[in-house]
Amino acid sequence: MSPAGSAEGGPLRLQYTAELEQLALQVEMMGVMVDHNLERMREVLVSGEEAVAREAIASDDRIDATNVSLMERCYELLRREAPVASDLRLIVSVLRVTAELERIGDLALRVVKLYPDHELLRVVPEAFDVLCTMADHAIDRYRDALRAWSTLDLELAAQVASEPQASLAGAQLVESLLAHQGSDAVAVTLRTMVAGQALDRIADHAAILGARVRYLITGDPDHLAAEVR
Amino acid sequence: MSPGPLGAVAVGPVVVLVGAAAVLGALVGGLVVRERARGRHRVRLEQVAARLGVATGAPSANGDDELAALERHVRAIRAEADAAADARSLLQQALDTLPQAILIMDSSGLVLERNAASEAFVAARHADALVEAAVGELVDSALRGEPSSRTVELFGPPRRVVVITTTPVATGSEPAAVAVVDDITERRRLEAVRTDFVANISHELKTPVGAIGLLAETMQAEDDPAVTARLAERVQAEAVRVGRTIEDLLELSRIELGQLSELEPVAVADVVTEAVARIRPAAEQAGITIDADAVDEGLVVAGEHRQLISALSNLIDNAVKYSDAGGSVEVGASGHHGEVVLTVADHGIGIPARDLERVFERFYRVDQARSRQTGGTGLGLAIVRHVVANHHGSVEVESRLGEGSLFTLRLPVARSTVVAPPEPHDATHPLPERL
Amino acid sequence: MPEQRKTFHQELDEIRDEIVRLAALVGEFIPRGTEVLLANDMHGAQELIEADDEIDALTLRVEEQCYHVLALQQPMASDLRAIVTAVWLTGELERSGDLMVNVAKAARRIYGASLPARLRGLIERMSEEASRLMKYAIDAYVERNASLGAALDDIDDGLDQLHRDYIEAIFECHATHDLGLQAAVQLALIGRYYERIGDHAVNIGHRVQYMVTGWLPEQTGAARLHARAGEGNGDQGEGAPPAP
Repeated sequence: MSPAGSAEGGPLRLQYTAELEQLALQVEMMGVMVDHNLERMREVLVSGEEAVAREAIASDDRIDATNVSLMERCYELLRREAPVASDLRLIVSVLRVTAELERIGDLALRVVKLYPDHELLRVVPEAFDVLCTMADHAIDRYRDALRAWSTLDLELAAQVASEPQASLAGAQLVESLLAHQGSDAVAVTLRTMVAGQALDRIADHAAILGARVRYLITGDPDHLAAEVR
Repeated sequence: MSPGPLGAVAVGPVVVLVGAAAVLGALVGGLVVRERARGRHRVRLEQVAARLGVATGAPSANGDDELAALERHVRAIRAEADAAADARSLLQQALDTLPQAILIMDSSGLVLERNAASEAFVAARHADALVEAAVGELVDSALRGEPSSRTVELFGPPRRVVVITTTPVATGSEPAAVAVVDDITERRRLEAVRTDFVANISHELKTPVGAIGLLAETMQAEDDPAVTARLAERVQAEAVRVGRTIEDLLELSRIELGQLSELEPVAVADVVTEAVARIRPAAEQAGITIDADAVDEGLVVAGEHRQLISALSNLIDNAVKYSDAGGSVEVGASGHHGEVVLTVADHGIGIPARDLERVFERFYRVDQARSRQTGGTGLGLAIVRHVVANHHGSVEVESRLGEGSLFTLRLPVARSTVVAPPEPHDATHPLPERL
Repeated sequence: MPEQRKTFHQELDEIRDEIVRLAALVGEFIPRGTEVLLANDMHGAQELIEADDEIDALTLRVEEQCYHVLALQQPMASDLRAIVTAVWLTGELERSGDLMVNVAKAARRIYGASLPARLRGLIERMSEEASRLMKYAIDAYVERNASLGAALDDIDDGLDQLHRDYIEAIFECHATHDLGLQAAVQLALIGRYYERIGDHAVNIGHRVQYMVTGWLPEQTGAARLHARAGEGNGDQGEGAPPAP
């Protein structure tokens, strides 16, 4: 006679595995939402379009809500199941990754919210060019990181994780701003730097995402160390 | 005969006594270890004695003797325990008076004993957490039988230097370790003051004397009277400089002795007026204005007139020296809650935070190049500090680089108003908070 | 059974103590890096950069410890939150340490440049403000003080204002030729590092709020209400200690 536990154990186990898969997929969806908002950020940066900015702001609320619900699911799984090492790594990674995604969304919104001062950002053409380049760079790195997550591509993850910080662009930005001597110099600089810093940090968070994915794949604590680096 | 609950009675009082002795033995052990719960144990001792009385029923003469012996025994143990507790409490009190933190830990890292000063390093936060961690590491090595020591520099703020020393000890057969945490910040500072002082004084005195020697030598070989005159001028300037340094040194050592020639009531208004008058010419030359508040004539401190003027004028002099042309220096004086507060504020270059606590040292320079320009002796603030100490007051400085400095002198108000009170005030303006 | 709970809580306490130690190391970095910068101390810069390895190593150790506890125990809701909060905090702290390493590296790049007194003063103040924020953040964490965690947002406004003044001062100094271009660029970047430490402290504040109340800042009022209701039941059932 088979004990009740094993009769139920099979389907339960299956359900649990399905749940984990679902979890990874949900993260990917959240990642796509953030991706859309980065696209909107790029557009607002160039055009200053208010309608797009409003869309982005509304979408960020949905991103935040997704983050909360994902976190609750992780807790539920941690509490209900006693995850084995690799599952545990996945669940904790989801917690970390969604936190990074949420942060990237916030940073994109910081740039978006500059839309009323859009004209000021264009006062110094060189600085504006640098900003656009930084935005492209940040979005590229983010997309690589997201791709590494969904395909569990170790090579790509490692590449995103190890790309050096782009603080050079930050220095270029300041340099071009200091050359500008208008009466609006400080106002221009402060806004441009808010944007520049946010873009810089998006790229930074993308690198952390890459390192997280690599650790998820290998489970090698040394790769955790690489994230810390 | 069936052995009931009181079966022991049948066997005889001796067995009871043996049992009681075992209980006592355990209790004594307990007592020595934990006399904090002394009161409770005493109650238990009495219970044992009482139970003994009941259990023995009608005791024999022999039992009586033994009971009496037991009672003596109990008393002796109790006295011993009390004495041990007293001695321990005395030791604890002695340990608590020490400024060093002392912790005794067992092999599992549990704190067995500690003194009051160790409070900061148990469940510590911020910089103290690093000291706590270092103590843990060093204790581990002491538990392995190796005494060890480490100096930990903390950036705080405030900046601190502590030395942690651990030594192996033993409680019974168990290894344990004593950790001592000694804050040597002040000692380090004093060492720096002393070595800097020696270096500085030789610099301050040797440089002008060397210059005078060289200039004189050149003069001897010089025929052109115009050149000789110019050299003579420089000899004079250097002589004035070294003279001023010596004067300040003498003044400082006089003040340092802490002897106030006579403690007299001094009107603060006079001190302010005279000190400002002393510096005003130099200030005007540098294009700096000194704004002094009108001081209430009734404001009086007990002290030495000359020293107080010396202190205040040094502060004003300093403020002027480190201001830029066109700047201003504000001097204020007021009475609050039994003390007179004198303030000197400037909007000059300010003092870096790391130098703030050292500016009152003799010859301490924030910026060597700048002080040479201003021609100060490097002793002004040291004089201020000693004057204030002689008057049981205090001096504080707040400063921001690029924004200026604010020096605040606090002096106790003269206890008896020896000076005649000022003309009666308008009844509609009663004296606020003063005196 | 009670025996096991106890060791589990000991492990939680250990994680907390390690976080406090990590925060203490980072807290030391802030005044230390500032001093390296203001004193032009190249030796100190090198030492600080090397000392970051200790922070990194501790960060890893704490995170591993969190995994260990998660794997061996089945923590209940409030403990689970404490562990996840610890994992998040290691990230915030470790990056704050990196920012001071950046300050030390920038100090090397402008070695020998003389910094105008006003800028030095503002750097000192930004540093003090960043230290203060970090201290409050850790106090909030150790004391489980959600209100202090929430207040960090507003306290951080002071640092943001200082940063604006600082950028303005860099412009003025550059315009009056008291400050070369290269130094001005590096100094502007340095200001951002302090500002970002403030941001990390604010993040820690949010995480602490979450740890204590189970609410995330991004949760809406309705979601918070829901979370609060769920929290109440869960904790009663499991007999968790109430948040102070």
